[in-house]
Amino acid sequence: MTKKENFLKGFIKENPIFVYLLGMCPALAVTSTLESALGMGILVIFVLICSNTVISLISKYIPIDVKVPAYIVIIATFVTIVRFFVEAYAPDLAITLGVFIPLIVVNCLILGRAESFASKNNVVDSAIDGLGMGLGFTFALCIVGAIRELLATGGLKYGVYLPFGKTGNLFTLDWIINIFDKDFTISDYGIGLFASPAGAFITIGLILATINLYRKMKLNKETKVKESEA
Amino acid sequence: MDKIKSAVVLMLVGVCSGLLIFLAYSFTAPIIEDNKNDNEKSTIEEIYPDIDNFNKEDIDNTYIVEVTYVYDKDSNLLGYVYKGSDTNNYGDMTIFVAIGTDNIIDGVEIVSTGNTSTFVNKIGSNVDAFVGLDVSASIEADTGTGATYSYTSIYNIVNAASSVHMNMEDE
Repeated sequence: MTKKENFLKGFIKENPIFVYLLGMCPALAVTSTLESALGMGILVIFVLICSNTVISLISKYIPIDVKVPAYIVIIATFVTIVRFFVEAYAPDLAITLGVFIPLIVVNCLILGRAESFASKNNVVDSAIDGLGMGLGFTFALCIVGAIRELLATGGLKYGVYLPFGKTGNLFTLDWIINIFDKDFTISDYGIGLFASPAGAFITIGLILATINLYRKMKLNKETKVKESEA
Repeated sequence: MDKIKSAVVLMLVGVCSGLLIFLAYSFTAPIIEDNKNDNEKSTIEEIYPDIDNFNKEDIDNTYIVEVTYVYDKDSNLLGYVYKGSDTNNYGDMTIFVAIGTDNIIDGVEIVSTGNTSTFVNKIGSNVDAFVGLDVSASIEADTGTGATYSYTSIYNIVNAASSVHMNMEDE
């Protein structure tokens, strides 16, 4: 596998959320807005890169019977460091993500990459894998977060939780309402269900169904081509 | 021998982790403390916009840890802000209960919480219902809020603040 393939595999082909269904707890809990999803994604990227790098460096010195405890201590260290920095520099994000920051320690994606990739590959490849998988995870969280926020509020905001310096609307569907009546705003028509955990299940379920439908159609097409060739 | 090696390796990993966490904590602790103080100050300013200065006093109580005396620019006492905290099954909660000189609750604000934010957001209107109540009378609570643990913590702190306030008034 080339370095480019290693980096890109986490986006679509081996996407942690949409393909392996790993790290579903934060995907369901903190994706009520695009910004909180992006915030969680950034934290996971940092922890994944750091833990993959350190584990790749020291894995050959760790006896097999204490491998998992040692990995968990390493991951927990980076999660704790991340938590301190978020509380210091993005306190609003720390409040919003709450207990889900410490829970990154038990994110299956991070321990999974440590065990299946970082412990068997060199430092550079492990860091690239961490970055690629982290970006793929963030990409998936952002898609879920954007859909949920859009359906729940009719727009996408920025600067609410992350320290962008100012708060504003990234995108709004107000123009649709304005076609009919200028006295209303789209937020009056938001589907509140999508801001709740039930909305996360529905959104992820629909995305997974769409992906599976696309795959099935692609497979059927390939089968038909092969049959016609035969 | 293998077990000793495993123990030594695990100990070294633990020591290195501890050192890294210590370094990160040393660097971020003052910033986190400043954020906390700024947050507390802005919360008091939201309740008493005419605040000019204030002074704090520690309190020895199960829930209430501190009282802040809030003054306006003419040094008139605007009210008392009681800082209370409680730990429920979902984590810690720190609350400000502002009581005016007329014994009426001027504000109840959640300063920080480890409770799930979705649940905490649910009880906004229930928390606002405390505002305007007279602390010299008993304070009733409706725990059927959809976030029972968070609300019970808040109710306990409001009740404790009322008791402490009335005791101070009596003295």
